[in-house]
Amino acid sequence: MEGLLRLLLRSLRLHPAHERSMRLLRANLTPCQLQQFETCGYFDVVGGETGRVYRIHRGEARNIDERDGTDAWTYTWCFLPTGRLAEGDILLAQKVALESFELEARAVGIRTSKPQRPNSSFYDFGRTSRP
Amino acid sequence: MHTQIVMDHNGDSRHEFDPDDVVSCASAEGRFCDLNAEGFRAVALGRNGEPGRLLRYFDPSVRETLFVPQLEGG
Repeated sequence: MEGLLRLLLRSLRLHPAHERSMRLLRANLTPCQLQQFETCGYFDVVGGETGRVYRIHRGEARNIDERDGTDAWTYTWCFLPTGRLAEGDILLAQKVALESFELEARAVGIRTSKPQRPNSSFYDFGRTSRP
Repeated sequence: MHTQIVMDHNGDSRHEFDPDDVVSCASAEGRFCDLNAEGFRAVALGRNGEPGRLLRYFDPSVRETLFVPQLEGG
């Protein structure tokens, strides 16, 4: 019963740990990151060791995108702190890791390629090649 | 007072210490070493959300230290 109640509170994001973690996160975002987070649900960070740009989305897994040299979001990363942490703590841990020990985070993280949008020229070719 | 912030299932736990007090510093250094041994990473938080600095050793001059549990791939 207690587990069910905890699950319900967690799903409603009313758990005190959630609120506390979100306060800690907001206190440690730059004004620019905070504005992004409040309006879009994500914020960008620059890797402290490679200078690569990452976008951390709300969520607890597979929520980090990496931008490549062509400004496309090419990869998705998945790494998170061990233990049962609230969402704000997870997002802050990811930000701090990328800014302060990026290579270690990349070493433990799992990277996958993001699905690319269908190449419109391919479909155009299909349409225009027919008489 | 300086603060050590440890991420945990309650959100976080905070431990204050006086950088000018030897006993208080020793206690904070002990906590730093224990958490490091558990796999936590200690980061000196930057001001206004600016990037922090990874701490390999206890530095009593750091105003706010955040302890992040060990990372794992998801």
